[in-house]
Amino acid sequence: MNDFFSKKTVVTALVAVLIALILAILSAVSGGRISPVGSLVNIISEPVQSAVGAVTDFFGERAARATRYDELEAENETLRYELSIARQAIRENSAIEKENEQLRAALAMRERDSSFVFEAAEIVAKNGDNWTRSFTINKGSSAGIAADNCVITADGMVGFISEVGTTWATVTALTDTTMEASAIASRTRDVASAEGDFELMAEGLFRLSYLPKNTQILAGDVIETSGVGGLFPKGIVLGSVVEVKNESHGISKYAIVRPAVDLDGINHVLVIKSFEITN
Amino acid sequence: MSLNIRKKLYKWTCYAALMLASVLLSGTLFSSFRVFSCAPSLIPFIVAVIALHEGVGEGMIAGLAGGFICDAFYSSHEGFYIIVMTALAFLICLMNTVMYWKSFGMALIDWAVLISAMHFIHYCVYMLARGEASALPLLYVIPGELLATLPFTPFLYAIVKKTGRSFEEMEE
Repeated sequence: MNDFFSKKTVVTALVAVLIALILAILSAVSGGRISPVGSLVNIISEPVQSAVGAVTDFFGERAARATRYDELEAENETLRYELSIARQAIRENSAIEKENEQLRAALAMRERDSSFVFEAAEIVAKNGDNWTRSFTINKGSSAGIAADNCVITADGMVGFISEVGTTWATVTALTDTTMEASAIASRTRDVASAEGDFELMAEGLFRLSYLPKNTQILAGDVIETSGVGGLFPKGIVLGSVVEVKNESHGISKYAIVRPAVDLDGINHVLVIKSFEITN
Repeated sequence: MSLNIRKKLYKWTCYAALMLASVLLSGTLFSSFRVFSCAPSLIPFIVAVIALHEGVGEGMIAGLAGGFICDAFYSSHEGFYIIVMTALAFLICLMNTVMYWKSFGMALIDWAVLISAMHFIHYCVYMLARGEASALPLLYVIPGELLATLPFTPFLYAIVKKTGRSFEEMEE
């Protein structure tokens, strides 16, 4: 029992409290954003995370090819050889195809609203605290990205930039409990608030709160950003309604919405660095 | 520097490297493996095993290191995991004085207690404070994280135990 209150134990506890206080003070001084310690850790870890991701993708592709190789081996030796050559060509072109998809998406968005300024980025890590949904991308302030920038793909909104470092940034996903955006239903023009909810986050959904009691929203209706407040551009698709329910107090309704983007399946995103506020 | 101190330094460097590798793999390779939408979280199990095998002082140091890594990589509330993991490592060692049984099963029990307490404290500090009275999130996060991490625990236990044992043999 004396071991529990030995010098080592007391010193360790005091060191833990001291480090925690220092980090908390640094975090508070940074205005609630990422502190220098967290920023430094992420600057160091971002290239490592990219490298680890690249290695795991490499071996994953090899394993998938081995499985398909076994399936094709039953067929014909020549066809298998031709198929492996074709796969090699596909892999060589896949990087170009991904870039083309991103550029086409950016062009489509730019044709719709030429005021958007984009930065393409790659997701290097999906953050592991199970109380949040966020990703780390491989671009940061050096690429002109700032906090609260909207993050999208060709399908719709992914989230927003919550923390920025020099060469990395954290994207808080649409389903995270800290996410909040002014939204509008495309068909009925009801204005509401899109926000994360912990129980829905586990299912990959979010909620649309403060709908009027007489709302005509139906399942399948598309929800997009309203542009109110000027934080996010207008007209970015958020998702589609799954179900409409009454709030517990009965004054308003809320809708459960499925994001337009598959948040678990994306690897590349576009960050809207700037846009013009339109009426 | 004496031989003993150098060996302890090597041992703790191995533990730290294991924790860093765990957090990097959690964010990349293991992030797709989800149960109840929760990804594996390997650091609490590593802290629990170190606390079980090394004792209270080293266990608290492991909690401090693991908490620092979690705060740096995961949390915007910096300092939370350092305090909580260090304190919970202490409590685990206190619990082990009653149920003193150094085995994989005991490591799982320690880890389950650590995870449950850590997430309960997180819920109380951050969600109750935001006015979210429902404790339903705990029913997703705790079982989800336990089940998602469970397949990796035998390997981690073997690695940590082998690391500690190899340095003990070197000292002998």
